[in-house]
Amino acid sequence: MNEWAAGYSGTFVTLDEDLEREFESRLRESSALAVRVAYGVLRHCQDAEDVAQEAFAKAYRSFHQLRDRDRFKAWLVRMTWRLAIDRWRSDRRRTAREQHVEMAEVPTTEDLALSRERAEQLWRAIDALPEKLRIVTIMGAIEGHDIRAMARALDLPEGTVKSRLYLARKGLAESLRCLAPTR
Amino acid sequence: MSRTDQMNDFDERTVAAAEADLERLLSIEPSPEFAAKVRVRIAAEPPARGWNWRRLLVPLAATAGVVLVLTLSNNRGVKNPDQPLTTSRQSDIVLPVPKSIEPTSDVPVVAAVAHSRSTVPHGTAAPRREPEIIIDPAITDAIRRLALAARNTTLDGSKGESIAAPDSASETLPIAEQLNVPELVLKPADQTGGQ
Repeated sequence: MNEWAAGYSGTFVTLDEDLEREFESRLRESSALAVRVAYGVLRHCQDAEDVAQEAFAKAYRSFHQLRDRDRFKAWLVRMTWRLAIDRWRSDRRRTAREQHVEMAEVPTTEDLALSRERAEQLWRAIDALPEKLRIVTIMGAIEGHDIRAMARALDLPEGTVKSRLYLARKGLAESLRCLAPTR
Repeated sequence: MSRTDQMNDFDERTVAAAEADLERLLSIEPSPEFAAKVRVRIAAEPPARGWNWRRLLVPLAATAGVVLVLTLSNNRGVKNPDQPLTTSRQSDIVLPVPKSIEPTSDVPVVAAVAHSRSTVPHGTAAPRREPEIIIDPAITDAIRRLALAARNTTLDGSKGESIAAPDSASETLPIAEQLNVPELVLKPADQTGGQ
């Protein structure tokens, strides 16, 4: 048994050593993805991490049932997205309040470069998109608009990703048109 | 928003800037203790090793309950195993005795006894109930004689004996006179009930 399970043996579902090792490597390579996906919905670092951790815990429970390991990323993204949406819906009022807190409390160089107003407008425009287009927009920003990577992460055909991305960009353009003069 | 509408340069630039902003906003990294927190979360999960026998407990208890109820309901049908089981007997059908035939025996013959009047042991199914038909000894004797006669009789073809109906039977039957039936008259029922 590896370091993962060593401290907790006998207290949780134990995968065999190979699976443990594989899950550990998946956790290392996909934790940023899960946190970013959750952040794209919740816009709050702590909540995003919490949801991502929950998604990994769920993934661990069912990891031995996943036949196609190459689909782990897509599986994790879908699970994280759904959990984040559930969290967001369960406490909608918090979202607007914490956008301000987020900017004020956890300022990064990137955040500082964006004005608070622009960021809020951007999130509002993204929120106005249908869910299918919203996740494509978020995944596009995470994966650097690599259609193949997005298609793999979302478990969708590349053509579908392309068309959804196009529609999402048009929707964003319509929503953001009013912001342009202030930029 | 439709698929055919093309975005102009202005929209393209707006969206490109928005996407760049979004990329920056989403470029967050998980905290260093992220993996440790995941482990703690997994450790906090209730253990679920292999087959969970607790899942079987409820269906097993339900099945046992159903079996118990069925057994009890079956036992209730037999009140006392030591007490003999008697079945009710339907009324006997006695054929009328023709006065011209003298009875040959004083004891009536029971032609068919549908069920035994003896006790039925516990656990055996009750026999089907059928009415007893008691035939008068004279009729029984007559039937016996008829059967014997039919068995001992042989037809002699040379004498013209056959089982066919006699020629006279083929003659036209006389037509009976037309029945004189009075016309049926319907009257309203007596409302007073005959008083």
